[in-house]
Amino acid sequence: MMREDDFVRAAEQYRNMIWRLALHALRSHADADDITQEVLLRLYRSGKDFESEDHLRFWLVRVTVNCCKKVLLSPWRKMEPLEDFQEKLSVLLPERSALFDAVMALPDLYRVPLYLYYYEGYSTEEIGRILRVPRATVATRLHRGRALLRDQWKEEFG
Amino acid sequence: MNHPCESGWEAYRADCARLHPSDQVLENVYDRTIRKNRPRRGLLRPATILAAVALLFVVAAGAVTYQVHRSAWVHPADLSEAESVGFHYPASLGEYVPESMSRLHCAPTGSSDRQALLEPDYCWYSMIYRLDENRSMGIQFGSMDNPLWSEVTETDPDTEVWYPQEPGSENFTRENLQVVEYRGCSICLDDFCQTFPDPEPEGPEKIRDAEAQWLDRESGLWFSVQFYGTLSSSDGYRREVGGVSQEELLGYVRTIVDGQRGQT
Repeated sequence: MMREDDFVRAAEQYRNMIWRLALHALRSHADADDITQEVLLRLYRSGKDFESEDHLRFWLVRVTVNCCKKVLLSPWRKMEPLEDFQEKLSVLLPERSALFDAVMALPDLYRVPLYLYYYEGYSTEEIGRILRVPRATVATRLHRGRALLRDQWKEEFG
Repeated sequence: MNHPCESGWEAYRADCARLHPSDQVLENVYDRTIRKNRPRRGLLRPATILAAVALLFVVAAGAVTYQVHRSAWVHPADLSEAESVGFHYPASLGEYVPESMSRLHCAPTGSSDRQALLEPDYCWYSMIYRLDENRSMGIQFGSMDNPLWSEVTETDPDTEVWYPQEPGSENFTRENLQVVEYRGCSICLDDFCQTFPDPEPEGPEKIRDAEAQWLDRESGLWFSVQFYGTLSSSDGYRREVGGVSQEELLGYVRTIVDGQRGQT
């Protein structure tokens, strides 16, 4: 197990990142809460000796993505309607950009790469290692995601 | 809507930066990790009593700066850590209960859990020594440099003897108070009594435990020692009392003072 003070530091520093990533992947506040808890518990129990802060961050992102995949594959998981999600999001972010809503309205295949690329600042190669897909696949998903956003933008704003 | 290829991503990043889980998420995680590893409830009792009593006094005293942050932040410690603050456990006292050794984190009022855990202003220590099957003795100590002990005391201006403050609750009283001088320490002895207004059937209406407190100016430590009766297996709280006298307690106190003077 991790040392308590190391664990508390990591939990305080990365809880938001884990939650944001889980929210993008699952589009559910409750699931993002569960995933955040699950990932932090795994971190505590892992006993891993991280080489650097980047190593720890990468590990947390990988574990979060894996935990989210498991949830997405669960046969009993019920997808929350987008309208319900946006209603709950309004409590947390009453004023937000239209692009944020547009990203969250995309299929999950595109949301996570866009988040990792545009917010976390990972390269396409790094995202490929996180998602366990070829770099070219990441580039394609980013391209298609942006294209969908552009189409939506044109539709709404001409 | 800004064009997604331009400043739109800046706005998106700003929105993402405001996303966060509820505080309950971390609370749950800490409950299942760090707090789960606290010493057992019965063994925590001296420290939690200390924290509760200290808080009681803090409230009564009014304008004070510090309080015990949260009894939740009691952590396992070991003897070497206690020795680093100047405590010498007297071998002649016998073996203390190893897992009972704990550290109470003290942080300023309003501090977060994180601050209390990682950056406590100071710590107090607590351990339990098992006298026999039914009786235990709790030993708490901390540096005199730390402010909390002075918040829970009243000093006689003439003699400079330190007395514990009144507990501030009609269910708790201190009786038969006396002061004994020993090797430069003014040891304040009393019976700490708890009255149960609605006692359980066959349970005691009043329990009485001898306790002692003193300042050891030579080692710069504040001490508090209490007896504990039988720990109930059902809830970890005492239900019977061994009837320990102040005289017997004083014998143990002398052993502790001797230990501080290097006589083990």
